[in-house]
This record gives sequence, structure tokens and C-alpha cells, in this order.
Amino acid sequence: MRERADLTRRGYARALVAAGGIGALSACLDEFGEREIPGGVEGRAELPERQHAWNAVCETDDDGNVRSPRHHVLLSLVLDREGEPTAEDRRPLEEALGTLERAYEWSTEGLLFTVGYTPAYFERFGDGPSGVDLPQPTALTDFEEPEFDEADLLLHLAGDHEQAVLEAESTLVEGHDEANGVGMEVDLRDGFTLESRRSGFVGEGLPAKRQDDDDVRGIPSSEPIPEEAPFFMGFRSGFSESQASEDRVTIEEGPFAGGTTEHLSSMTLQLDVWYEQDTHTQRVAKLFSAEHAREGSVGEYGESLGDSSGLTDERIESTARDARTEGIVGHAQKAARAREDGEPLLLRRDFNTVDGGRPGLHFLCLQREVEEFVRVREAMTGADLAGNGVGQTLNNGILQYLFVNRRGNFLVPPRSLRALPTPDGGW
Amino acid sequence: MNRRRFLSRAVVVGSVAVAGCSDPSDDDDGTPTPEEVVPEFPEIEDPPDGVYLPTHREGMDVHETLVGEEVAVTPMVTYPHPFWLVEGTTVERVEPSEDDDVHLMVTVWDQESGIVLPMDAGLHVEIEREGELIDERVPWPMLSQEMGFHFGDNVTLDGDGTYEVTVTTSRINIAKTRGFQERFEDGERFSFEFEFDEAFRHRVVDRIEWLDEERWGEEGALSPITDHEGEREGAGDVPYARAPSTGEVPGIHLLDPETDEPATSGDGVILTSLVGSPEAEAFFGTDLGDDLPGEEEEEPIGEVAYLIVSPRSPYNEVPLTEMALSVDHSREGEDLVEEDLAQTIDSEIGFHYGLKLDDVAVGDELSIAVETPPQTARHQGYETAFVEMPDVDLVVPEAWTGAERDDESDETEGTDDGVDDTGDDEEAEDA
Repeated sequence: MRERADLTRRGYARALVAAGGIGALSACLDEFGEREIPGGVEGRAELPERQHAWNAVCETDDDGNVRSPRHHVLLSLVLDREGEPTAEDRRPLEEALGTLERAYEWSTEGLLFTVGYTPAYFERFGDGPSGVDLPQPTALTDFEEPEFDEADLLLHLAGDHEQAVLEAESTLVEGHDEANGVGMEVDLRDGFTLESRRSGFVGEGLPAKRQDDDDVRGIPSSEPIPEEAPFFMGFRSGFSESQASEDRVTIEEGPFAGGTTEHLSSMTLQLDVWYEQDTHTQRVAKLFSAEHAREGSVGEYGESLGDSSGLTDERIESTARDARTEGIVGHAQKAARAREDGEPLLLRRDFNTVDGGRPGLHFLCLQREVEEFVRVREAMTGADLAGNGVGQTLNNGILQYLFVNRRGNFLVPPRSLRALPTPDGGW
Repeated sequence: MNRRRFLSRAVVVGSVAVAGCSDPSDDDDGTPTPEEVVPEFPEIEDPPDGVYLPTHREGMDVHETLVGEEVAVTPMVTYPHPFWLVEGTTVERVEPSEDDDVHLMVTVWDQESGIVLPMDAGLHVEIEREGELIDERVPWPMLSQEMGFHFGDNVTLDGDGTYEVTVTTSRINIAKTRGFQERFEDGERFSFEFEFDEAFRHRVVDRIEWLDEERWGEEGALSPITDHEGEREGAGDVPYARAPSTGEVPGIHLLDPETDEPATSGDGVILTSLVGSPEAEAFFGTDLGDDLPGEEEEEPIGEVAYLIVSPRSPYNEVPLTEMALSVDHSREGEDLVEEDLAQTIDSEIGFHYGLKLDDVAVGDELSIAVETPPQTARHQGYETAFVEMPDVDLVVPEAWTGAERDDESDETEGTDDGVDDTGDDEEAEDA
């Protein structure tokens, strides 16, 4: 971890979350003092049954877009027991998660979290989750060879304050015995093994702060990322008009009604080419559309767009035409082709990272069915456009700048079934 | 590391050519170096709207060709240098950044035929040093007078040392015809190492050959590096993407009525040909053969044809890839069809744009529209050419009648003794 002296407060906070662990937590407390984090609820029944019900407690910006929590940690855990889990496994997990709910307000001021289960987990039962199609993740383009998430479960912890996120993490997987003043009675290390830890951040200023970080390779030293940009690529994202609602991504029937499916792709970003070779106009054309670039409708970092990516039906429909006549198609324009009756299918909760010492993105999204994600991704891949004025990657959105390293599919069950559910929604 | 070390060396080599460009300046340590005089690979003022002679021949290290199952990869490494990106008809000069250390190039070719492959999915390149990933990217497809079609980019390294480069190819997704129909279904992986040090920097810069300044910007092109086997290090080992000569393209050629030569557009030569039955069928393959005309349709007046459009640079005949072409086929002023041509790679004529036409008769008009010019990045001398490319209007010649069946051999088997082409002899070397 870098010394405090040469980092700004925000930069240091982000670096602490990237480092993780009790050491980072104590460094955080030493540096910033203990922040008062609002406490939680008596019992989980007071919280929404949907684990993914975050929007209502997230801030919105002036244009009505939901603002993601600033700090994120993803923990992949393996259940040590072979075969089907038992009550001995469920009880401590439920106790640990219940402790977090009592300790932290269900908000970005406190802590938001979800638990999701992989297809590998359900293989323990020899049967997939009832009423939910939860396929094994696969490579989705010819030019990726990702690893796959095969640990049993994925914990996604998020909040605006690094203190809460780090403390929750330490309490879950490092034996820290107190979460925001609430005692943790169980140690998940008895029964579970941490397979991987990923972390990240999103929000104004955080990506720009990484530009002067010598520990991260692959961010141009010419410091081109706008201070206001919430993402490494330099633009706003997650416009409310291009996001599915929580209702739209919620499973409606069967034992897992109230749950959702989650896809997580972890990728590195090629920012040297993006910033030092492409112009701002080219970046806008590749992210949005050639028309956006021509009309200057995006602004420096997306501030001119308001609550929408500014894609008219006409622009979306003319994607193939644009490829042939403009020689370029936008990422948003392509992906929007998968909308159903104009309605987006995915609820994106992605965030940037410097895991592995390189700029990257943990693309986390929720949808009712994983197949919907695959459809959007196919539209975004735009293989149908290749050879028609754009290449498989050349001028074909932002594919040239993304390298997918890992993919995972998860079922995020309703809150009441979140601790090691059986395929039929039992305990 | 920045380019200064390259540049201060380059001026020694190029001082004659660039003397007087600007004033010398001091280096950080006070040693006067002519850093600012350095040929920042000077831009040529007001270059012609077409292929022109750049300022110099590039120096480079040509590495040993890497041989895979099906394809081979020839890597080349040199100093970072400017190039141009094309988006639609907008061309942007890309200067190397201060941090860039090398310009990395690779050419991918078919071992069997020697044909340079367009690799439409791009290449994935990873650069590691002592096991640590330093960079990962998809290099740009590029056109260069000396190198032909290749992939390349300026890359930032992490100081002097040995670097390992892994190049991964993907399956070819564009249409594949004749002997290529079942080929290039899988990607392959290749690795090579290069040394980045003072010796490398001196060597590649020493190999730069500057043209006389008065020739900069003249119409013409540098001859391909392969023509300099024996004179230039490694020149003979570089596969050069060259479109088939006029005589090698089968079928009845459609010529510009004014010049009786292949038509041109935006300084590109748009070689166009119609291949008749039965030879045409070999091209239809699985991709194009499914849409045979329905039985109920009117008896066609003309003949089935495979339309070949093979755009290439003048002089060196580098195939122009990454274009979107369509054809408007009409007869006596009445539109018959308007269709897109498919980017295609063929086992004999290599990269071209192809389309099956069902009913082609003598006197039909074929208007070839360039909807998107080549979206390939450009080395110096190609950035003003092949950008604004007007339609090419052609007429099916008398020779089409009956030519498509038994006497095609006369037209198609020209090889070395084929028709002379567009001026290879306009060689642009200094004395």
C-alpha cells in the first residue's frame, strides 16, 4: 500500500479498500478517525425481501440517476464441506449476515450487500435452482478466454464509506469480532475458505485520482481522465433510462421469486490507447454513437446527457447502417438493440478496479434471466456488424479496449433464502 | 524511458535531411543535444491527396517468423512513430506519447499459400517482463508502403530488459472461398522475445534511410521491404501483402472506359472482375450458395456471375481492407439490385470483396459504391489516400458473352506474363 503522504484523502480511501483486511481497516481508522456509521435493524424481516433492493436507499443525482455506492468488495467463498450443505453450515452464515444487518443501516451510509450462488454450488445437489435457468458461465466472444467463478458463493459488499465496507469484510472473513459496535458471534473461517477477493470504486474523482498512482500500470501519465468522471473510460454511465428497474430484473415465480440473477465479468481496460491515441470525438463515437460525436451531445464526461444515453429509437435501429456509412458504431447504441419494447433488460452495478495493478472493470449486472445478459452481450459484441464497415473489434464500440479475464453467473436468492439454499428453495 | 534517447540518436543519422528544422536545445543534464531538431518524423506540409513518398524508410528489427499449425506470424520491432487512425472519413494523426518505447508490428500469413491474412477479429497481444504483464492490447490493422498490411501499435514498456510478447489470433470470420472454405477456424498462440536496450535503439535508428528532402511528398510510394532482400536486414523474411496482379484475377475485367485500365477512386485501384460459370460456382461455397434464385422467378436474360472487387494501393498493390462496398446493378438505366459486397479471403487471390450476381448481361451497368473507405490505420504516405472515394461506374463489356464457360482459361491463368499493372517501376529510392 502506498504511503499516505502522497495521496489525497479520496485516493487513500480507495487504496485502502483495494488493499483490504484488518490492516487497511486500522489504517483507515487511524487516518480518518472513526466515522459514525448509522446502525441497522433488529431483524431481517424489517428489510426488503429482495437482497438487490438498493435503489430506494441510494442517492440520486440532479438528473434522477441512481448513484452507485462508492466502495465495493467482492468475496468469493468456498464451503469446505463436500456435498450438500447442512444446518451446521447455514446457521453461522445466516448469523454472520444477520449481524451485518443489525450493525449497519441498509443504505449507502451504512452497508448494502448481496449473496449469490454459482452453478457450481448447485452441483452439490445435482440439480439447478428450481424455476431459474442458471447456466455455467462461458466465453462469450471468440477473442476471450476467461476463467470462471466456481467458488460456491459471492458476497458483494458496498457502501459510501470505506470504514463500513472494510469492517464488514474483516468481520466476515478475518475474524474481526465487532461490526460497528455489534459483536460478531461466529467466524466464517470455520467452514468457509476465501477463494478470491476483488474490490473497486465508482464515483466522481475516484478514477481521476488513480492517474498519479505509480503502483498502477496502464493509466496514462498525461492525466486525461476528467475529475468529474465516475468511471475510468471518462464518462458517466448507468443513466436511469438505460437501466432496468429492480422489478424488471426480479424473478417472479417459483421458490426463488423475489431473487434475481447476477453476472459478473472482470476485465482489464486498455486506457493508453483509449486516451492517448483516440480523440475525445472518437471516444464519444465508440461509447455512444457517431451522431453523439458529431452533435457534441455528450459533453466532456456525459454531463450533457441528463438521465439518458440519448439514443433515439432511430439511432438504435440504424446501428447496422451506421457501421457501413459512418465506419463506426457506439457501444451503447449496439447494446441498446437488445432492449425489449424499448425497455432495458439489465440493471448495471459495475465499478472500476485496480486489482492486479492495472485499470479494470468489474462488470456486475442483474437481470431476471442470465440469458438476457447473454443477449445484451451479443448485441454489444456486434458480430453481425463485423465486416460491414467495422471490424470484429476495430471501430466496433469499445471491444478493443476490454479484456475479459473472468466470468461468473450467480443466483441472488430472496433474503429469506440467502444462506445456502437448496435447489427447491428449502433450507 | 521516453523517446529522447531514440531521437537524439536519430538526428545523427538524419541530420542532413532535417538540418534547419528547428533549434537545438539542452538536455536535462546540460549536455547540448539537438533533441528538438530531431526528426520528429516531420509532417510534410500540404501532402498530395493521394499516395506520396514519406520522409524516410523505417529501420526495424525483423524477428524470426513464428510457425504455428496453420498460420505464421512475423514480428517486427522498431522505434515509436506517428501513424494515422481512420474513423469513417476522418483521419487523425497519432503522435507517440512521451512514454512510448517501441512500435511493435506483426504480419500474419497462411503457411500454405503465403497469403497475408486480414485477421478480421484483430490480434491479442500481451507483453510481459519477467512474468509481469506490462501491456495488453489489440494492435491496429495498418497499411504501410514498406510493410504492406500488418498489425502495429506504439507501446510503453518498463525500462531496458527482455520482453516476452504473446500474440493470439482468432478464427477468421469473413467469407472464405475455394481452398480457404474450411480453414482458419481456430485461433493460435505465438510467443517471441525481444531485447529493449541501448543497442536496440541505436540499431533501429541507424537503419533509417532518409529520402532527399526535395522528394518528400512527391507522388509515389516506397518500394516494399521485400524488394530489398540482401540490402536491408531481414527484408527477405517479411511477408508482404500484395493483391493479385491484373492477370491473376480471374474473369472478365471491367475497365474504366476512358483509360481502358482498372478504375480508380481516391487513388485506390478498384480492380473489378466478373467470373462466369462454371468457375464462379467455386466461389459461392456455403456462404453464398444458399440464395440461389427461386424457380418461379423470370428466366434471367444474363448469366450468373461472381463479382470480384479487389481494391489496392497504386504502385505496391497493397490490398485495401476494412472497407464497406456495395454495388448498384442496373440495365438500360433500370435498377436491378443493390447489394453489399462481402469481405472475402480466397485461397488464390487473397483478400477481396465478393458478391454473387444472378443475372449479368453485356451492357449492364455496375456502380461500385465505397460506403466506408479502408478503416485501417495508415503509415506516412497513405493517410491522404483512400479516404474520399467516389463511386466507380462500370459497364459489363462485350467479352462477357460466352466468356464464362469454356474459354475462361485464357483470362484467368495469366501469372508472371499477365498484364502489366499500375506502375511498379515508379520506384522511389534515393540514388
